[in-house]
Amino acid sequence: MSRGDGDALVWRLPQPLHGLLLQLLDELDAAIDGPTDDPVVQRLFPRAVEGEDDADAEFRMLLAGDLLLQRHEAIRACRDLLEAGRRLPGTGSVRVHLTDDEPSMLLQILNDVRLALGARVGATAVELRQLVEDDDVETQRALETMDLLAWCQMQLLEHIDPVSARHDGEDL
Amino acid sequence: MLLAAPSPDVDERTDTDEVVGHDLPWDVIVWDDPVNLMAYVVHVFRKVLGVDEHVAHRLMMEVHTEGKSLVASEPRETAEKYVQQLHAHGLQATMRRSG
Repeated sequence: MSRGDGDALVWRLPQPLHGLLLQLLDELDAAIDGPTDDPVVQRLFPRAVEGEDDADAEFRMLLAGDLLLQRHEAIRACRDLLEAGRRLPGTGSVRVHLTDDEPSMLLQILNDVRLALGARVGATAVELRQLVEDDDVETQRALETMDLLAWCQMQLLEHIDPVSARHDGEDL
Repeated sequence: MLLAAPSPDVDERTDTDEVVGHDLPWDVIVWDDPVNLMAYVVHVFRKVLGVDEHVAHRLMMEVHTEGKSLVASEPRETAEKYVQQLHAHGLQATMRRSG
């Protein structure tokens, strides 16, 4: 990732990663419309008010719909950004230009994808390092994808907010 | 399909007309999560709560080591705004009446 003209960020992505991100955005777009008891939906739209069911329901009634709409819009905007990327002949790469708030939006949506993957493999209840021991192929594939997305997130964060990026360590 | 849901049912949100009082301060709590990156959480605290790097790092480490952190105590409207923004950034945040 590098600075382009003006404030633009230029992100050069290997084509397989570019394709994977597009696929994951489509999957996230569908997953957030799932049933309320789906682990992905529960993780991305968590409880808001402790100990007061009515207040929590009121919060959801007023704000959760907006959050769902915002997520759909951000997913579509990120998809458009990635699709607008230019293939670089002979390099196997795609060059994506990010301006203004686009890096932050992409950072946020990639985080949503990681959270959704984590929820799908049960990382809401156990630590990731416990899941590494799991022999399930789908779990391992999800964990590898989460690692790849974490790398993407850090690439973006180092440009968006280098002060915070200094605290790079592990997962929480 | 890494993210395919087991069932494609439409999301059904709970609905209520009951209104809860707006006068008491509310605590905003962020809970530990095994997936969010430490640096990302510091970034979100700085961006959403407007705290400096030192405070953001302290709050993040408290979440990491204690399992949760009280990140703000504010009037209800402000607390709701924080929770909404923290949820939008993927953090597990809840609010409760102070005291």
